[in-house]
Order: sequence, then C-alpha cells, then structure tokens
Amino acid sequence: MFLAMLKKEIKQVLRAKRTLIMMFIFPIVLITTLSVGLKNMMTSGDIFGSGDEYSKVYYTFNGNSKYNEGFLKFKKGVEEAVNIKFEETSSLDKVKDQVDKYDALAHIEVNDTGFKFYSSKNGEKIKVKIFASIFESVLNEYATYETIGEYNPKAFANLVTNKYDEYVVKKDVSGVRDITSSEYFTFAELALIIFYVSSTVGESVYKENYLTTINRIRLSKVTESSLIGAKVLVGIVISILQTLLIYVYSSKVLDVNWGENTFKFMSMFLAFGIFASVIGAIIGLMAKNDSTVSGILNVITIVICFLGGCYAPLSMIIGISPINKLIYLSPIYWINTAISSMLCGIESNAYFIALGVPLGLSAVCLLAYLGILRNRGGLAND
Amino acid sequence: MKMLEIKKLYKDYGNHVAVDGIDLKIENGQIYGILGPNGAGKSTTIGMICGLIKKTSGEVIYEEDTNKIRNWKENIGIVPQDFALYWDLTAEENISFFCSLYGFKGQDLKDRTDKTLEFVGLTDVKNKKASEFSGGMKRRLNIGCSIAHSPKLIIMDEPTVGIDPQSRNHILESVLRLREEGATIIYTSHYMQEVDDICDRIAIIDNGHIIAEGTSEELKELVEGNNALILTVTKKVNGLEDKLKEITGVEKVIFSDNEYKISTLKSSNLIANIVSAVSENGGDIKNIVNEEPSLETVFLALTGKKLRE
Repeated sequence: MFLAMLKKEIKQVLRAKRTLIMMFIFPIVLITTLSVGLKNMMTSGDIFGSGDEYSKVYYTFNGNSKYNEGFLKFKKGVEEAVNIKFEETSSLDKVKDQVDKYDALAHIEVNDTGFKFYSSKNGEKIKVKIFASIFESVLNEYATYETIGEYNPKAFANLVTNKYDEYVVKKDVSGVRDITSSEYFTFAELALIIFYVSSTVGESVYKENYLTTINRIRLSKVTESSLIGAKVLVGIVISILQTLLIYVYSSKVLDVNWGENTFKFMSMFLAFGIFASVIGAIIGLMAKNDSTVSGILNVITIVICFLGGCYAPLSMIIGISPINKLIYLSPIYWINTAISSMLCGIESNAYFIALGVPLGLSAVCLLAYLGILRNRGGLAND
Repeated sequence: MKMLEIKKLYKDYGNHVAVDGIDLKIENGQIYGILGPNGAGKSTTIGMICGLIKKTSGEVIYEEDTNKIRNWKENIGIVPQDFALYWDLTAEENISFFCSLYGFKGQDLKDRTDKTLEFVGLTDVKNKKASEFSGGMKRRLNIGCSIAHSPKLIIMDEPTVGIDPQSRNHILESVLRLREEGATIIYTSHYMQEVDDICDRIAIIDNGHIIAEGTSEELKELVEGNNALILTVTKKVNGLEDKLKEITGVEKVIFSDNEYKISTLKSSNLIANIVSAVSENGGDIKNIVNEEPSLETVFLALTGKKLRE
C-alpha cells in the first residue's frame, strides 16, 4: 500500500511539467549563470592579496619572552613566502576593532607561555582560517619553539611556502584548492534548489486536505502519516536526483572537482533534502489555504538561503552586522562552510554541524507533526 | 441485523450545537435517506459516523458488534458532496489507487478496477484524466472511487448535485444495484423526488434533531389536509365554491385561471361527490388531477419555508 502511494506521488510529479522544469532544468541554468556572472566576486589569485593589497597581521610582545625571537623568524618567513605584512602594536585593544572589521587578519600576542591568537569576533573568513592553520601547523610541527631559531631562515621561508601551498593550491589537486566561483555557486545554489523541494512537498500535502482526498485515505487501511511519509520520501528522492544531476553537470561542464569528499558533500545535501521535505510537509498540514503554503515557504527559503550565502558569497555577508550574527541559524551556512573547509583542507567540525542541524530541525518538525495529529484527534469515535 | 445504530449523538462546536442527540437505526441492506435544510446537521452526523469528526458524546455502533471506528472504517465507502479526486490522474488510476489502499493488488486490483469502471459507465474513458471529465462523469468517478473496495456501508452525500438528468438517472440506478448487491446506503439529497423514489426509510433533520422518521408513506401521513384535487373547467361557475365547501371533507376551495383547487382531508375520497356537485351546478369539467402529498410538501411543512444559511 505504501508502494502504491509512492507510485501515485511519482506519477503526479512526472506529470507536472512546470515542477520538473523548476526541479531539474532551472538549477543548471542558475548555477551556470551565477558561476559565470559573479566570477569576480570570488577570491582569485593569491588568497592574501597581491602587490600592494597585502593582508595585515598585528603582533604584540608581552614582555621579554623566549618565544620572541622564534616568532620573528616565523614572521620573516611568512612575509617572504606570502603577501602578509606583520605590524607590531602595543596591545590587542588598540587593533581589536580593525581585526573585528577584517582590516587585519589577526592579532598574535607572544608571551611567556607561548602564543595567543585573536581573530574577528564576527567569524573567521577563509583567509583568516588559512593563516591560522598555517600558523598552528608550522608551530606544531616543531615540538619546542626553541628549535625554530636553529633553522636557516631561508629554509624556514620554504617551509611556510610549502605549508601555504598545502592549503591553497591553484592546480586541481584532490581536495585542496582555491575556491572558484563555479565551485562556490555549485554548492550554494544546489542547497537553494534542494530547499525548493519544500514547496513541492508542502503544496502536495495541502492539496490532499483541499481536495478532501485525505478523508478517503483516513477511512482506508493506510494512515494519513503513511501518505505524508510517501510525499516526504518523494521529496528526498528528488533532492538526491538533483544532487546527482548537479554533480554530473558541474564535474563535466563547469570543471568543478568535488574531490575526495564527494560522499561527505552528498551526505550533507541528503540531510538537507530530508529537512526541506519534512518542513514542507509540516507547513502543508498547518496551512489553511495554498497562498499561505507558498507564502510561508518562500519567506523561509529566502531567509535561509540569504543567510547561507546563496544570493551573495558568505565572504560578503560575514562582514555585515547584525546579519553575521544570524548566519549560524541557516543550515546552508554550515553546508557552505563545511564544503569550503574541506576543499581548502582545513579541519573543522562544520561537517558534523552541517549534518546535525538539518536532521535536528527535521526531528523538531516531526515532533510538531505529532502535536498536530494529537490536536486534531485523527479518527474519532473510539 | 442493524448495520448501524446511533445513540444520542451530540456535537457541540462551542458556539453552536450542530447535532443535538440523534438516534437512528439503519437495517442491513436498506437505502436510508437523510433530508434536512442547510445547516441542519446532516454533514456533521455523517462525519461522526465515519469518524472524520470527533463526537462530543453519544455512540455509534457498527453491525451490532463494535463502536470502534478504527476496527470498522474499511467497511465504509464515502461519496462526498465535493469531488475527492486526483485531477491529474486518469479515471482508472484514481479508482485503482483508492482501491489499493484497502490492500488489493495484482490481478484482484485490476479486476475490481475494471468492474467498477463498468459499473459507473466510465470504461470507455478510463484513460482520460479526471480533469477532462464532464460534471456527470466526475460524479460517477467520485462514486466509483468509493465503492471499488466493496464496502458494506456506503454514504452518499448529495451525489447528484449539478448534473444532467441522464447522469442522475444512471446514478440512481447504480444506487439500487448496489443495494441489490448487499450494500447498505445512507443517502442525503436536496432532491426530494429521488429520495422518495429510492429510499426505504427517511429521516428529516433540522437544527440538529430528527424531527420525523419513517417510510415515505409514514412521513406523508404526518402532514394533515394536503390532498389536493384540481379541476380544470371551461369557465367559472358562480357560487360553485360555496357549494363545494359544503361537502364534508372539503377544507378549502380556490379558483384561479379556470382551475378549482380543492383541498381535502387525506382520508376522504370525495372525487365522486365533488364531480357531481360541479355537474349539478352547470360546471363543465375538462380535466381532473388528484395531487397526493409529496415529500417536498412534508419537508416544507416540517422545516418551514424560511431561507437557511
């Protein structure tokens, strides 16, 4: 019986030409257009800038620490290897504002116990993350800081360059590269497109009430929940097909290399597809008319996608206060952050958050659904 | 055996009472009509029978066996007043889908679908989408989706609204056939004549109560003085009205457009006396029509002629 419902849902989707175009043709057009049109908005060339447009790092020596000399050697090596300039300052307080506004990458305090690293309280942009990773990686590779001074400064500079190249490489090396506009918009827009599945599922659920076919379902051997479940499952299947389609198209045509993290990327989009379908179903159940369904879902889509960086790159949004406080609420933000981190080879827990947030929200929606069912009473006369 | 028994069924929506203590017994194999003006409580009663509306109090007993709708709901087929169809699916797909929800599959499902299509007269158009159907075809498909799983109790809520006479006739014949095949049918309609024609028993509901219940004849007995004899004459006869009123059993005489409309007590058989009186006074009778009381008359007499919501 569940298969019969699934079959019916699939038939209805396949017969809705407008839905098919929106689900499968429109994504191709969108990704291609944005990738080509917004190329210049994405980072290109040296991630830390080129020529006079260098990136700045402030530092403070807090007392006469044994780490001071080692740090200076690090500083020299970095300045020779990449387009970063270090500037000394008397304290963090003097430059905190600049760091918070991304006019400087970070502030490093060198003291008796080691190093204190401060980056923007508004969140780390990609180049800050990369610098931080290089910084930690170089310093961690050597067990004791005293040994840094023993190294030939030239070798040290080579070391920093090698570390930089590990994180930001211009060639197609698996998993680690600069973020191109094609890559960014492939993943950002795929998330946006998948979220539109919520409208398809929501309207389908609403229609069952509107057409009163739901009453026939209620009187049969199957439950209303089975029907809703079939619709959600079809929504998830659509999101999987969309992901596969974009994977094939972006790989073959846009030269996007999904790298060794393809499975992880797809799992995030699957989790997001589950969330999109579930929330669509809940809105469809609660809505009193079809304009309410589309209205609510459109608002949610715009908010989630905007905060997630679908309409403008995250690197732009992250600097806009107070919006940058709200971005963490968007599952798409975590997906984009996780993907960017993985592509740059930066370790972070964004992947797990990107999985957990949509699945957690889906669980919340499920609880809401159970509440609705209890409130309605389902079939009565017992 | 009673297919359905309703005891003191009550539904209070808070701001108004929709069903106020209804008692009903429907025997197995009956076609049971429910009449009532708009807002009388018919749809609410049907909803509570099916378990689609939660009752405030009262009991619904199915087949003298259970009052748990969850255990019995698969035996109900509901033909709602509004179409409950998938417009983008064909007639065959609609019937097959709804039938499959009762566990039918494979060849059994196909056979049931074909048989139902034939029953409702849609075999030739089974591959057409429901959205392309005429009003009558939609009504027939609506019925088909409700009966494919061979329910014991079929509830038809105004199944002939807005369709042509041929389709209506087909549907009424189908209802009678369903009864012959052993189904029990609850039939609601505003078309008094069709309720009168096909229903074994009728309940008239108003303001949430049953105000009359019985066979068509029993209901007509309830309304006094509604026999009418209409005499068409060539011309008016002066003083004839007074003469006719003198006849025992004649209640009222009205002359209009060469017709004497004579109301008599139901039990009286006065045709011979009236015809004699007309002839003796020089009247020339062209035509005589004896109007027995109709269900519509009964309905209006019991529920009033005031417009409802």
